[in-house]
Parts: sequence; structure tokens; C-alpha cells
Amino acid sequence: MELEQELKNVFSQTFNISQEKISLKTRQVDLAEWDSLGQLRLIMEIETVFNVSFLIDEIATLDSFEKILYNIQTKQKVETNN
Amino acid sequence: MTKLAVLSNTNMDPLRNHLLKIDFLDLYFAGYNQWQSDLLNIESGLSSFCPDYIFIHLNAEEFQSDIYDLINCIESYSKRNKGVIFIVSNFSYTPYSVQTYINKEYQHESKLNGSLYTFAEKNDNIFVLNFNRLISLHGYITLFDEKFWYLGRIIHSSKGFAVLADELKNVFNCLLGKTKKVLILDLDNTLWGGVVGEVGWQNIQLSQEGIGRIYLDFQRKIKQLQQTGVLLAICSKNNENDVKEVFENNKNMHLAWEDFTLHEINWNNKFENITKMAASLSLGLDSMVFLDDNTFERELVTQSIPEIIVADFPKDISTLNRWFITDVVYPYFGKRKLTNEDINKTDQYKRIINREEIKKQLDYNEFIKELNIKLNIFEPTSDSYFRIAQLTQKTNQFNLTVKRYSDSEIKAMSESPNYKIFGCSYEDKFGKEGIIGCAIIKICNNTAFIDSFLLSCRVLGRRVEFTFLENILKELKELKIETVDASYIQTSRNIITKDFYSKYGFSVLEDNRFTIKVR
Repeated sequence: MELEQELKNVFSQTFNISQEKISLKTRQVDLAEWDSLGQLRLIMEIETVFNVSFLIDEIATLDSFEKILYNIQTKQKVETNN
Repeated sequence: MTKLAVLSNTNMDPLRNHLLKIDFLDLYFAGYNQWQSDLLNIESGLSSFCPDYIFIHLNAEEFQSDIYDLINCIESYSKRNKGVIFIVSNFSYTPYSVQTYINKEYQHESKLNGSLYTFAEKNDNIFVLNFNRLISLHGYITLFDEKFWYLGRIIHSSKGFAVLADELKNVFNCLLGKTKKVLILDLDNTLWGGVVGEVGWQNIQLSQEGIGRIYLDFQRKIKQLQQTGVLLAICSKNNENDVKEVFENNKNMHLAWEDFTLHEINWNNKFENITKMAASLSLGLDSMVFLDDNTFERELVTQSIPEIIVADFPKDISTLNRWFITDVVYPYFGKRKLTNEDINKTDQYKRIINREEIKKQLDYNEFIKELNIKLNIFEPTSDSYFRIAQLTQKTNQFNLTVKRYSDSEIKAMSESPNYKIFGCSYEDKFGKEGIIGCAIIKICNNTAFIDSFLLSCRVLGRRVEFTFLENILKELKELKIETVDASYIQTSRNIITKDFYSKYGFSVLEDNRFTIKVR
């Protein structure tokens, strides 16, 4: 499955919202469910589903869908290069 | 919908999404570290939610108090809310300590858990969830995550919450009486290695050493399961004689022919055999679990009988015994207590099958007379609360109102002047069946209301229900009751009781209600 779609699924399931509310342009401020606790739950799921790991100080900076997508892609490229 | 509240001294929010998948639960999560105030404060969110079950999951390092702080909170809440069941995780200390080999912290952990188990032993409404067993199984490193602890006081990893939710699902299967009753087993490459029809009884893989030992240990575990009240059955494509030779001649066999209640050894389709088994035991197909090493056989049964549980047999046979415990026993056969009825279950069902044989030969009335039925109707005491509660949870067919009760609720009603509970035990010429029925009556001045009236399907068709009801009405008359009201609440399984009260002689009112004068 395409990475962007898979990430949309994780957002949708974590926050219990429909996929229409999520797009490449979605930022943390746009979704009520995406508060600080929501952020932690989201990152926990992302780490499990995509098998990546975020450093503790990275997590707060991931405040948009696009940033997270880019970050996962980078991490996965690094893995395949290794 | 069963109501579950989750209390902790850590942030348990990620557990919510996992628990939502268990669709018989309605959820409440206490605020971070609010477990004490939620339990003690009469006006707390917890009190208004009014849960049936409260799950308390405390982290040992954060719990800087005495076990009595926990016990006092539980007792305070219990006094105000009878019938609530507490599921309390046992305490686990972090494996990361500067103390190294001094062992003081592990002593403290043992003491806390010792006191917790003692408290649980004295109180039927306390269930200890053995979280230490899960840590042992998966590892602290897998279940705990420091990153989310420092960011948001979330103690567990995603895997940790998944494992915990799974365990709670198994616990609820057990507490709500949703466990299964029958284990149906294939033989070749399931109870022993090899195909007996091809290699003969002497050459099947079953021994004290090597691969044969895997199957021997498997048989031992199955026997232990049978001794907790699970019925065993064989469903195998074989010639019966070849199989009998194994049971009679192979000294390594741990299970005996008599350990199995039913034996369907033939060349018919397995789903036909299984359906036949369900009919002769008068048990639903949804109360059965089927184990078979053959993928094709499993698929066929799953497709033909969607209600039955077909467990995914392991490809690596060396994991057989581990798989059996984690994937079959814990999810489907969880048990909290053993009753005498449980221990004697296989014998009881043998008697059912014997009786069915005799019944075919005699005329019905003669048959009843020949049975020499003796009923004992009694008011339960602490020895029988658990069995009475178990009956309310498991009886689906001859059950007028299908109300489920826990043993602490039965105790509370027994001790209340507003209720009368009657149990009924049964004996006939084939043997004792133990406690097979109960009735819960609510009393208000000189009117009584039958809240629950149910009988195990084992004793149906013998007019026991009428005798039981007659005796209850006699008792109520002695208590100066003048009118007895009752109702029938229809479910998909209890249609046979629809006309029970009217057949007895109650007057029929609107909306499935009935009444009778006893003076």
C-alpha cells in the first residue's frame, strides 16, 4: 500500500475520524483530536506500523501530516541504504 | 453492555482504542493519577459511570504507599457499590535498579503482591490480573517504553497495551461465562506424530524423549484441561479399530478412551461429525473448539460451521505446547475457580448419553417414573453462591429472563431481606447432577416477583421445572405471600419457556407478564 494512504489510515484509526478530514496539508492545529496526548498516541502507532523510531526530541516537532510523511520516508530510505 | 472503568497512577489512554475492539465493553478512563479520589469520592466521574468492573493497573515505583491504601480505597467503594468486581494487576518492579544485588526492592514487591493475593482470597469480588506473567512471557523491554513515560507518563509501549488488552479480553471471557465447553481433537499428527493407519499403533511418534515427547506433553495438558471441566471429543478420519489399538496397546498413551465423551472415528466429513456431536450433547456449536493439524480440514470446518472456534495449529511442532496454552487455553478455557460440577463434568455427560439411550426404549411416563428423580430445593449459602452465579451466566435455553449475576451479587441478594434465592439439585437412578437450577425472587410486602427462573438443559423433559416451581410457591405461601408475579423476556435461545408459566397455571397478562394467587 502506498505510504501516504497507510499514514492516513493510522491517523484515521488513532483519532477515530474519517479519512476525508486528513490530507497532505493537515497540521496539528487543524484537528481537535490532535492534542498533546493525541500526538503521543499517534507517534506510538506510527512507530509500530512503519517500524521506525523517533528520537524523544523529534516528536514535538512533528506537527503536520507532511512532516511526518517526509520523516518516515527518510528513515525508511536510510534503512534500505544500510 | 458491560461497563469497565480503568484506573491507574500512569496514563493508560492508549489502551482505549485496543479495548474498543472488544465490543461488549462500555468504557470510562479515570484522569491521570485520579484512582484514589475516584474511588473515595461519592460524586466522582467513576461513581456516576457506575461500572460493573473496575480495572486497577498501578505501577509499583509510582505507588509510594502501603498496600492498605489500595485496599482501603477498594473497600470504601465496594461498601457503597455492591456487586462491582475489581480486576487488579499485581506489582512488578523495574529491572533497572542501582541497588543491583541487594534485593530489597524485590522483597518489597513480594510483600505487596503477597498482601494483594491474601486480600483477593478473602474477597470474591477481587480478581488479581497476573501482569508479571505477561512480563515474563514478553519481556520488560518489549512491554515498557521510557520515551513515552518521559513525554506523557505513558508507561507501556504500543505492544504493551496490545498485550494487556488481549489479556483483559481473555479475563472477561472467563468472568462473563463466555468460555467454551468442549475440545474436539483430531488424532494423527495432533495427539501423536504420524498416521496410525499407515504405520501401525507401535510406530506412532509418542515417547518420553524427542519429538514423541512433544505429543506426550500435549496429551498431559489436555488431560489437565479435562480435569477442570472441559469435555473432550475425538473427530478423526481413521478406521476405528486402528485407533482402538493405540489406546489399548500403546503404553505411551496418556489419554484414555474413557477420557473422551464422544468418539467420531470414520470417513465422513468432519463438519457432519461435529454437528452430530453438538446434538447429542445438547450443546451449541459455539461452545466448541476444534484442533486439527491439517489446514484443509480446518478450513472446511470453519466454512461449514462459522460459530465454532478453529484454532490455527502451529507449523513448528516444537511450539505445540506453548501455543496450546497461550492461543487455546487462556482465550477459550479460562477458569477462576473449580466447582464439584466442573470436576465431574465428563462423568455427568456420560450419564446424559446413557439416559438418552434408555429413553429411546421406554414410554415417556414410564421413563420418568423409572428415573426415581429426587430434587433438593434449598436456600444457597457461601458454598453454592459461585455455582448459582455460574448457572445464571451460562444457562441460555430454559431461562425465563436471562439475567446474569456475579457470585458477589448472589451473595448480596441472599443476605438481603428483600430477596429469596432458591437452588435446586437433582439426583436420579443414574447419579447426582449437583445444582442444576435456581430461582431469584424479589419480595415486596405480600407480593413476590420471580426475577429469575432457570434450569440446566440437562434436566429438561422430565417435568423438573414444574416440581421446582411448585415447591417455590409452597415456600412463598409459608412466608405469607399472597400474589406471585412473573415475566418472560424473549431471547433468541429461550423460546421453549414462552408458555411455561401459563402451562403451570398462572394467569396471562399483557406484555409477557403472568400472575398467580397462592393463598
